[in-house]
Amino acid sequence: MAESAPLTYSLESVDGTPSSAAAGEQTMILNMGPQHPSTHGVLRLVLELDGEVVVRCSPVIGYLHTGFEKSYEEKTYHADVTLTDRMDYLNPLGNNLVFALAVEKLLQIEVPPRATVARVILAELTRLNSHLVWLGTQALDLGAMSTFLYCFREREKLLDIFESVSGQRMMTSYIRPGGLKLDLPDDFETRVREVIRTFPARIDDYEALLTENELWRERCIGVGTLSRDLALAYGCSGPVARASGVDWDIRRDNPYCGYERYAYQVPVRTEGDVYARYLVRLAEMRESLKIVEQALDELPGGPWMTSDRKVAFPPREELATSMEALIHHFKLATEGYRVPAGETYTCVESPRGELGFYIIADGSAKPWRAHVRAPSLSNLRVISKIVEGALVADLVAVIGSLDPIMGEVDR
Amino acid sequence: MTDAGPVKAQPPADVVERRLAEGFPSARVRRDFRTSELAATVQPDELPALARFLRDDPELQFARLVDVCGVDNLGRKAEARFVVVYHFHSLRLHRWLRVVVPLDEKEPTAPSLVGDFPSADFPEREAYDMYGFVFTGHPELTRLLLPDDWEGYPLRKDYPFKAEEIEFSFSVGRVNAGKVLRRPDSRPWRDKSASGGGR
Repeated sequence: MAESAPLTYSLESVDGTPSSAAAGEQTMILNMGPQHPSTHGVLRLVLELDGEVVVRCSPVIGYLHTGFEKSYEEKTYHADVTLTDRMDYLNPLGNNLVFALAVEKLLQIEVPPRATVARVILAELTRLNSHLVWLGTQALDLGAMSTFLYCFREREKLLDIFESVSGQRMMTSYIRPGGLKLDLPDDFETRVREVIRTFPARIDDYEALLTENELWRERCIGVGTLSRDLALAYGCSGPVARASGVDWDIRRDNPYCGYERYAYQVPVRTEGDVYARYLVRLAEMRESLKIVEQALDELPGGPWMTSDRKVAFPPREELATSMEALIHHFKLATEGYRVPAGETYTCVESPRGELGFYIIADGSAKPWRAHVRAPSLSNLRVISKIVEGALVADLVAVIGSLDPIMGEVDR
Repeated sequence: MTDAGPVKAQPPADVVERRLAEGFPSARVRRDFRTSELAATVQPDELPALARFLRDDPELQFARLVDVCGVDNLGRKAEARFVVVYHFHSLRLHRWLRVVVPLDEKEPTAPSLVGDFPSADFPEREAYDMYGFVFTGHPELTRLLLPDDWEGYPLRKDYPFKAEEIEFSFSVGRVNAGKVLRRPDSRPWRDKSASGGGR
């Protein structure tokens, strides 16, 4: 009886196709995860197998649920920033960014140009970081151990930049409503130039290891094919949608942070298989480098935080001399700033797709409601559609290619 | 399209506002004062028709249902306590549209959009999980993130954030240390902390 319970997780009745088990065939129910090395966290897949062939697959999620959305309501906007990067450990600065953009939209404040350009640089470096981990783990899942080591070697360089910028390698909380937490460090430009200089050759290395590799192609081409219609119907976004022919990138089509000023391509493939997603992400890494370089060239000086003292903390040096600044600092830290009543849905192109924040402000210092539109959730949901008829071994490739971050899926 | 209804002197310049006024006049469209974002409010029974209209209208093509989420307005000035919020996205206009559906407080029920928009599946289950909203026609409305035997709906405002309130000098006597709060008024700390503690 316990064995048959997982079947209720199946969603096949959505399109009315009956289970083959009902037709009297011998199938087996198998749990994959939540502790399986290739499920990238705590994803559980309930599989119905006919031998090695997947008949049905339904994802079961929630193992990493931490009640973020309730916590958002209970903390001030200032404290909420720290929750955003914990949601997606591969894209901390991107998550900080979307929250900051949403709150700034409600506050209607301007961000200094230095902060805006720095945000672009950091968001693109974070995209590189995320795609590197994805590439490394995807290759590891398919047995290419060395790629994983190379990717993590490069990722260290990026994490070092994040650490020098924010003091933290992963939980940065650096991009805040109104601007940045601190100014960029003096050696920021040198470090980023070094990444720009060395990185293209590294991507060439990955391509040399994988792109024409016969084993890699055998494992990826034609596996987990996602059609354009299915991608749109299931709300897929980001590289997953672009590998299926959806020519859409929020950075290009709804520019934020001045992305319209930079020249870059949006890579799109039409095959929709694991290999296409691999090619799209590799091309995106090259394009991200282009954006970083252009942004770094035009990085202006000046303030990094808005001059609106209702939101921004007083400068450190004022605290020693000005009683008002000290009081102000204390009030901002304990009570937070008030955000006028309003609603916004603000989204950015995260490494995984459309990452949106729906925030309802009620005029107090805490959001009335903050909801995260997580790209991984819809990208993951489509898995039950695209692995039907695939082999169990291919399932590993498909999970990796969708790049789900369970912290974001479960929130 | 000719309309027998009262003709407005100035048709809305915005294509979404104009098409909604022409094709779905029962939807109440308002623009957020600060963020200028559009939101259309409809009653639950009109929702599937509106969603199909938004999707199929050649000028709008809001074909992607991006997100579904619940909102609880307990203790706040709003038209209904429970609201479901849908976000649609149009690849033609490159715009998002918010659709707000107020629900009955006693029986929060809305028609499911899973049939027309498969992307509604997980988010509707999440709204059921967190708020207890029932989406009629959903093929499998079970808890998504929480365990199946979980009691209550955590994102409702009368569900406490912490299991017990901590006693501070300003709340002496009001707090029974160790007592689990599961009452509708179990969030006395919410507004106090925003205004600096209070008594």
